[in-house]
Parts: sequence; structure tokens; C-alpha cells
Amino acid sequence: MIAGPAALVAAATLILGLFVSGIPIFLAFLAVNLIGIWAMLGAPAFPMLINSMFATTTNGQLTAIPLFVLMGEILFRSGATERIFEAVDRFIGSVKGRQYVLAGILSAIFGALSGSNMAVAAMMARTIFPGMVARGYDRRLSMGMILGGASLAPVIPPSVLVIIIATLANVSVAGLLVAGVLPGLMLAGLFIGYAMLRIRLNPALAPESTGPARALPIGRAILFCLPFFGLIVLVLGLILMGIATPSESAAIGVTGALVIAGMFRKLTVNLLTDALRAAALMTAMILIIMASSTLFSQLLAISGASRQITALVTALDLSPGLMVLAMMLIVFAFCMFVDQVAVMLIVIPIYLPVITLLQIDPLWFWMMMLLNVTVGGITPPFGYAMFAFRGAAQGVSMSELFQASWAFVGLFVVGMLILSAAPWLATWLPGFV
Amino acid sequence: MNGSGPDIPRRRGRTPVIVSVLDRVTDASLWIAMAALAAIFLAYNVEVVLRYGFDSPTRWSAEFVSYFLLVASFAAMPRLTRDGGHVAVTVLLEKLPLSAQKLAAIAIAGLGAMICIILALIAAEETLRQMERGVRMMAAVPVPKAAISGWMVWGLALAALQFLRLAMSDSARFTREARA
Repeated sequence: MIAGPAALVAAATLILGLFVSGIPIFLAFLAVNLIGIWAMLGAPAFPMLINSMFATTTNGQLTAIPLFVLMGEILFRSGATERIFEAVDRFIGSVKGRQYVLAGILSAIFGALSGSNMAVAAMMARTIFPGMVARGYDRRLSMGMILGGASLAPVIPPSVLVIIIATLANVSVAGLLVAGVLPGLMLAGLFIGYAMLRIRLNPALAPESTGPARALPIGRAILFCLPFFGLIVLVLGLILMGIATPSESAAIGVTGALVIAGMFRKLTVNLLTDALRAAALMTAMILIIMASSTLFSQLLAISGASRQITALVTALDLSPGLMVLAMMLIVFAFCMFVDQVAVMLIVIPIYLPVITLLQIDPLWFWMMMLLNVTVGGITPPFGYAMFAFRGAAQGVSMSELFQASWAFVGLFVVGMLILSAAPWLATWLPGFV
Repeated sequence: MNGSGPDIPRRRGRTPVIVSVLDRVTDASLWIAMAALAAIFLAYNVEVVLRYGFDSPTRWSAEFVSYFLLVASFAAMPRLTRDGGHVAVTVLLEKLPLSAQKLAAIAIAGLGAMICIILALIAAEETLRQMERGVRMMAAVPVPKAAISGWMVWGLALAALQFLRLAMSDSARFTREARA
């Protein structure tokens, strides 16, 4: 029987090898788990894999995933996005560099709506980016603002990635969801502050402001925003006040999204079936990967690897700060090449005993980890949000996107340093849950 | 080979009956997944209304939504497979020459079919065992476990067939192009 660190190294090497070979992630996990069971326990233990898949896909906490996805799908199809666009455009007014602010804020809002950084990057690359370039805004800074803003999608609730992390790491889903509010807003502020600073240092980066595209009355702009912000406040408020679980809040959110679609006269059978179809496919994609990977952590425990990792960490005798830094650097490097969900599924079972041993606040740690994996979406060479941007925008090269994204990767690192210095940013709001 | 030359273009345009049936079953399965999602949404809303409006929470909603989650995940899996919607890290694969990419796609689909069929068989054996022993869920409403785990067999088996179909169609296309 393979045991201890040898099992861990063998499993991690095999999984990463399978990932980069282009095999779907769920198949890679299934293959490694089948081999692991066969090598450690023998063929009669194969039903363990089926039982763990059953347990994962019947985990009630995870029902929040399809419901939040469904809420986003309905809202995106409801016409709310166009109205938010107009309203935010009106609120920003005539500030120099207003389109950078608009790109940052809209990316963050649409990220919260959809939960997908790739979807937002593609949408913004198609809609707002060409206009920015045509008006004389700096291409790289425009790309960076959109990519940075889109990357907030998994941080600002509701977020599917948060539900996955919280479930795997055994922390409160509600707690981790609301923990993302302040770090998300802080990062959005950092991005906008950075753009303003760059314009101040080099005014040529933005043309003279021409004001909003349409002279929308302020009252109407507020009215346009009310349904969307009301829905987000309702969903988060129910969680924060402990009235409803994240799944129940998500279901109420779906009801609210249907009401909004009705208000905008977009509620049709086609909208419902399209939204349900997209949500069902997304749910299957996420849940099948999670179900396939769950046994991985149990096999690590059976092989003794989890125990040995804890022993190794104890023997290293590093300070918790250094240990956290080392763990974050490993994930940062992985996320440059591998999908963020896949990375989380590998590292969470490995890191879990370590943070328990070091008595690190789990909410703070997993929020730091969330920021770390999120930045993987815009980190060269394999940041998926950049691929989505390039696919949607005309005449944008990868090298341009790489150059545009580094500054925002740096801002994410600054954000993580701020969160290290002020952990209350992540732990204050969850205190109310 | 009987009339292989002129027959090829005609065959290319026509979907074999077995593939057509597979596609219809796969599409029907996706509708089941969509219905399961709608049921999750409705169950939670009923629960919230009954709990806060009438102070009488249901005994069944928490359990049923979790069963529907499994149904939604596995019933949508075959269509996800057919659409090539599973997440994969394809960046390095895309750097390969086109012929190597096609061969890799055939190998990956073949591996997918193999793994899914192995798991479908294990799940089927487990489901049969649950049926024979009359295993029920430990819940307020003790539903037979096989009625839920049967959806795993369904999803995995159909996904295996879709992977197989992808492997075969990719392989046929590759052979045709190599001959041409």
C-alpha cells in the first residue's frame, strides 16, 4: 500500500499531469480516485467512490449553487443589466476618466449578478471596451479595469466559488458569503483609486470628460437601480439577520429576479426555460467536479498523508504568518496554470489540518485564499478571464492583455496585504450572522 | 464495401437512428434536470412561506431539495458531455498540431467513456444491492435510496454513451480526413 507523503506526491503529480493533458477535471479526479482506491484498499472498496459522489450531490448546502446561478441567469435575461448600465453612467457624472470608473463599477456589479469573471470579462469586452478605445481612453488601462472588476465576481456575494470553498472547508457558507462584501468593495476602491492616480500622473490616459451618454434624470437612474440593489440587499440581509439559510435566501432571490423580469416585461416561458437550462448545465458542471473530487480528501486521510503533513508543519516550526505566506504562494503559482476550482479541490483537504493546527481564523484564511485563487483568472499565462476578453473583443493581442493585467494582479496582492493587516475586513460582517 | 464511394456524402448528412435516439433521451434527461431545479426553487419557497407565514415548517423540503440536487446534477450530465461543456485545461492541448489535437480528443473521449461506464456499473451494482435490502434514506420521509441513486446510474451510463459517440464520430472524421 502506498502511504504518507509518497501517496500525496504521487496523487498530486498524477492529477496535475492529467489536468494539463486536457482531460476534463472531473475525469482526472475520478481516474485518480479509482487508482487510489485500487492501490490502497483494493477493488471491493470501489463503491466508496459512488457513496462519496452520492453524499456530495445530496448535500443540501450546495443547493445554493443552482439557485444563485438561476437568479443570475434570470436577472441577465431580464433587461436589468441595460438599466444598471445607464444608471451607473448617470451617477458617475463628468469626472475625468469616468469610463474607467464606469468599467470598474459595472464589472463589479455584473460580477455580483453573474458570479462568473469570464462572463463579465467577455460581456464588457464586447460592450464597453470598444467605446472606451474609440473615445481615446488608454487601451491597457481600460482592459485592466475590466479584468480587475470582473475578477471581483467570485468575491462579492452571491458567489458560487464561496459556497464550494465553504462546503469543502467546513466553514459557515453564510459567514464566508458575507465575509466577501468588504474585501470586494475595498478591491473595487483600489482599482478605481489606481486609475485616478494614473490619470493624475499622466492626463493623456483619458480624454476630457463628455459626461453621461444619455441625460437620464437622477430620479429615474435611482429607480433603475432600486430593483437590483433591493434584491441583493434582501438576499444578503436575510442571511445576515439569520432569517434564512443561504439556500433559502437564494430561492427568495430567484423569486425576486422573476419579479424584476416581470416588471421589465421580459418574463416569458422562453426566458424561464433558457435560464433553467443554463442553470442546470452549470450545476451539473460544478457538482460533478465536486462529487468526483470529494473522495480525494478521504483517500489522503486513509493514506496517512494528512497526518504526515501536520507532522511536517509542526517539525518546520515556522510562524503562522510565514506558513500562510508559503501556502498562498503555492496556490498563486498553481492558479497561473490550473483552473481555480480544481486548485481549491486539491489544496483544501491538504491545508485544512494545517490551519487547524496553527489556529488560524478559518474565515479570514479562506477569504485570503479566495482572493488568491480569484486573481488566477487574470494572471498570465493562463488567466481564463483574459481568454474570454480576447475572444469577445476585436483586435486585442494576448501580450497586450498580459501587460494590462499585471498591474491589477499587483493590486490584488496589495488587497491581500491590507486584509492581512486588517483581518476585521473579512471577519466583522460574519460576526452578525 | 457496398457502394462506399457515393454513399459517404449521404451518410455524412444523416444521423444514424441510434445516435438520434441517444440525443432525444439526452435532451429529455436535461428537461428532467431543469424540472428538478424548478422543484428545488419551489420547495424552498413553500418552506419559507409555511415557516414564516403559518409557523408550520415542512418535514420534507430539506430532504427533497437534496435529492433533487442529485437528480439535477446527474440528469444534466449527459447533455453537458455532448456539448463538450465539462471544464478542462486545454491551453497546452491547443498548442499541439491539429492532427495531434484530434487524436487527443479521441483518446480523451474514449477514456471518459471507459471511466463513466465503470462507475455506472459500480453505481448499478450498489443500487441493486439497495433495492434487494430495501435500504431507505434515514430521513423524516424514508424514501427508498435506490430511487435516488438510480439517477447516478442513469447519468453516468448516458454520459458514457455520449463520450463513446464523441470518440467514434471524432475517430471516423479523423480517418476520413487522413484518407482524403
